[in-house]
Amino acid sequence: MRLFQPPTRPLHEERLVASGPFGGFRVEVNLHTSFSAQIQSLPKETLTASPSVKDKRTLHYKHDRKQNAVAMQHISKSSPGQDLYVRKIRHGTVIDHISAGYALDVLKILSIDGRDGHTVSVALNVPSKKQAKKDIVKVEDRELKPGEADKIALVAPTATINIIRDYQVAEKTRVKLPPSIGGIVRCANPSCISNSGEPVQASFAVLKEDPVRLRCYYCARIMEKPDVLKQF
Amino acid sequence: MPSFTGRDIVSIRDLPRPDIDHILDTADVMEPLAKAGSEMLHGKIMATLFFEPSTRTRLSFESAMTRLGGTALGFAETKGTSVEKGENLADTVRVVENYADLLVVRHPLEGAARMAAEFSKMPVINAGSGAEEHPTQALLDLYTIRKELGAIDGLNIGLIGDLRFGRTVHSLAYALSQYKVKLFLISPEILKMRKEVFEEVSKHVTAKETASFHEHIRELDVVYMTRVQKERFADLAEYEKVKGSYRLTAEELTKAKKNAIVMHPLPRVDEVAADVDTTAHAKYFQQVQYGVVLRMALLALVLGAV
Ligand SMILES: Nc1ncnc2c1ncn2[C@@H]1O[C@H](COP(=O)(O)OP(=O)(O)OP(=O)(O)O)[C@@H](O)[C@H]1O
Ligand SMILES: [Mg+2]
Ligand SMILES: [Zn+2]
Repeated sequence: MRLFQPPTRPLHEERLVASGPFGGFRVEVNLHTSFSAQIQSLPKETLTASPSVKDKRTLHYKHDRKQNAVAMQHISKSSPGQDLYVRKIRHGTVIDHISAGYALDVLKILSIDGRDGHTVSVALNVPSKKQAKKDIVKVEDRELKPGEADKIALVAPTATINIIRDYQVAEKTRVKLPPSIGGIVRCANPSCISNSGEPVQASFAVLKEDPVRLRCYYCARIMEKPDVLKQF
Repeated sequence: MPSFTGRDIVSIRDLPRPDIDHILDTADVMEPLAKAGSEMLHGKIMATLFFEPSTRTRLSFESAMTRLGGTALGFAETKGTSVEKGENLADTVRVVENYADLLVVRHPLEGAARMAAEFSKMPVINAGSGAEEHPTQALLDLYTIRKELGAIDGLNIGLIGDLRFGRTVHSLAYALSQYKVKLFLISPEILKMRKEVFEEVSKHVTAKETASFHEHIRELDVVYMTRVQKERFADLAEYEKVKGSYRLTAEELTKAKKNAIVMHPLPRVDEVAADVDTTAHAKYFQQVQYGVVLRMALLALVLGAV
């Protein structure tokens, strides 16, 4: 387990990328410091144990080297003076403009735990033009399906989903909560039937998106953002 | 209006005003049958699943069913049932639905009736779930007001006492908010109506929150009393102080409008003094009778007999 300090220079990719083909992905945030993430990743030898994984990684390194100039250029265009926090990816999804400090909740909501083998990068509390600070999540070789990412609007209503194809942003959408959600949050009412071990999932009507306001389908209790956040 | 046949009666919020009015109109049709009896529901079986004891509500449903020629079975408490052995509500419902044409469910948890309805093939009527929903009580309250005062629109209605934990007042306030009434929400500070209920209700009607009962009694057409329970107070001295201010006596009622009616979901303790019983204002026992009639209407509607 290694502890990271706020970067004063571009983070070397290996320090931020926590890959998990063997279930080695775990991130913890220490809430007492503005930027500190503990990333537990398996030793490199383990990560590259399978030839196919090794090949993939090699490929990415190569592309990275090839694309690096482009990446830096792109970043300096969108945020002058800022460094590239996470390396360029070839295919996948970039979840950008996540409210600072909520990237890990986003991962949780999306059930991204690294165990499916996709390379996942997380940057916390990076400076941003649109927000004071933001978090970014990049998932390689996986395109979030339309609607799949909408649930993250619960904790990150300002997030954007960028689908990356061949290093380019091929699609960009703002997250939007669906009219009703189920299975992500529990009802805040302890005497709600959905909290009693019955074979049902809590589900809610979305009354308002930002700040979020939900009404329990079962007990009609109104849940507000703090009630939701408490659960992550 | 969608047909009532097979419909679940889970929350008063599921019933728009035309539906409520139709239920009340049907109750008018039922009223003579309450005395004369009917075979309208002959051969139909109502199961009462009471996970929390409530003799009154259960008897009222059983009486309604019996008067319409149907039969009732069920349990009045969970003692000695499979529930005590750990069976969940979802399973209980899926077993009992095979014994009956309709389920009447009372449960201590909020949303229980909604869930029961989800699992049940048969229609479910909520006879009280958790602290907030008691739709048949709200309907019988509306029916009482309409019967006694001719209409609901245009009235000044005071809900007095425990507006926070009182199970009946939430459903009643929601129901009343569909009519053109003025609500007086009269309670001690700590028993004020929950913010979300108040906000929802005051979107539709004028609702005034106040701690002062005696100041407003002369304005009210309906004086709806509820019990202020000792358990709600951390400080007993505070309870003693508050208790007296939400108590209704015959003398106090001399200030009220001549036709004002006094209602109470019962049981009462001493928030309505015994000397009120003999005044023309007292309608709480009448209310019980209207309750049977109203439930007859619901049973007949849901079972498709009217
Ligand atoms: N190939 C890539 N690999 C990794 N990240 C990328 C890649 N291409 C773009 N991004 C990141 O995706 C996000 C969106 O990229 P885009 O080029 O649309 O930036 P932008 O113009 O600043 O967009 P926005 O207005 O949404 O902030 C940025 O955070 C960018 O750094
Ligand atoms: Mg940007
Ligand atoms: Zn709930």
